[in-house]
Amino acid sequence: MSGEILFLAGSPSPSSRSSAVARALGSRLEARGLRTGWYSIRDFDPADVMLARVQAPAVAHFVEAVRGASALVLSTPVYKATYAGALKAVVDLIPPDALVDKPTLGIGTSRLADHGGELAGAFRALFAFFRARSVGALVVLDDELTLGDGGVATFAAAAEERLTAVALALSLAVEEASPARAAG
Amino acid sequence: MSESVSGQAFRDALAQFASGVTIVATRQGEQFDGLTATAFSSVSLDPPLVLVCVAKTASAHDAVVSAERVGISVLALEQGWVARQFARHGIDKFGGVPLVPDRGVPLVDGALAHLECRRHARHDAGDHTIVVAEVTAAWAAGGKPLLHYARKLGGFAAESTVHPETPLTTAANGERR
Repeated sequence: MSGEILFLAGSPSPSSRSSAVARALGSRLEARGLRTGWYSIRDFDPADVMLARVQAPAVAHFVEAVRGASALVLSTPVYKATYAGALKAVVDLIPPDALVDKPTLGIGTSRLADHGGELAGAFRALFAFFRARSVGALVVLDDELTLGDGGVATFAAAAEERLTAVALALSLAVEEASPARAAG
Repeated sequence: MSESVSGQAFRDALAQFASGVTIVATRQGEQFDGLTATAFSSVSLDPPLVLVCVAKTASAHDAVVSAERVGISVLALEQGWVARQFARHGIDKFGGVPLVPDRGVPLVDGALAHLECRRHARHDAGDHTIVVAEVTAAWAAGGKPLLHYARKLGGFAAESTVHPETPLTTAANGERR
């Protein structure tokens, strides 16, 4: 097991707000001594994803990374009241047994509070399908997030507090799920 | 002149009532919902009943009021973030919140006390619904409580000395009786 916490960014935008939140969480986890790995839906050939070409090298490599990861973090903007379809298309390439008991977290950015709640429910259902060890979702509303130079995220106090909470919960879940690694 | 108190005077007066802070939570399959409630009280010992007053404007009102079973967690001092998170709409209220494993209702791990409850009665009460619930199981861990007072969260300091001879003061006229 590589022990990496694998991030999959689901926004097609290179200057994505949800990816900025994911990077902020990644920094927190790295500060706790955890290693991170990074994927984006932009890393895939769209045809491989749309046609579910699981033998394509990029897809096979991704699935292998998911299996070896200590945790999986998905990030997405809210599109049409839920996660981005392109993210779901990549998640659909993950075998159904690959996340069993693996810590998972969803990250979402939303303009509307109603959709933020919907997204949290969608992530919960997705992680339940995979029988993952979900720590839930970190939903950040647009008015809680400012992007600075280089896409660095600055959070309102309430969102910062939630970021800290999920960072702690995810790192504890990783340590509990990988006791050998924590001991070594 | 109106017979009814102004909303501001009502809120200001009631803000002077200190209370504990609870999370009232439900689950239906994989659908979790809950809210922060300070309007919580014990009601009866036989049968064991508690009540919680739920604002009709709360996003979790319908889920909590219609639930057959709810879990109530009495928050500890260091769980102010849980209280704030459950009071917010449009996010994952449960995100990062540790739950007691293998219980039928969501209970916040690390809370001072946990109650598993079954719905007993509901009463319409203005802009709130009073949910009366029968306690089917209860545990107390103890520790330092989270309190809500004057629109702030904080801790409890026990009175160091008791003065039973001190006369009571009525706030309305400031006179000692």
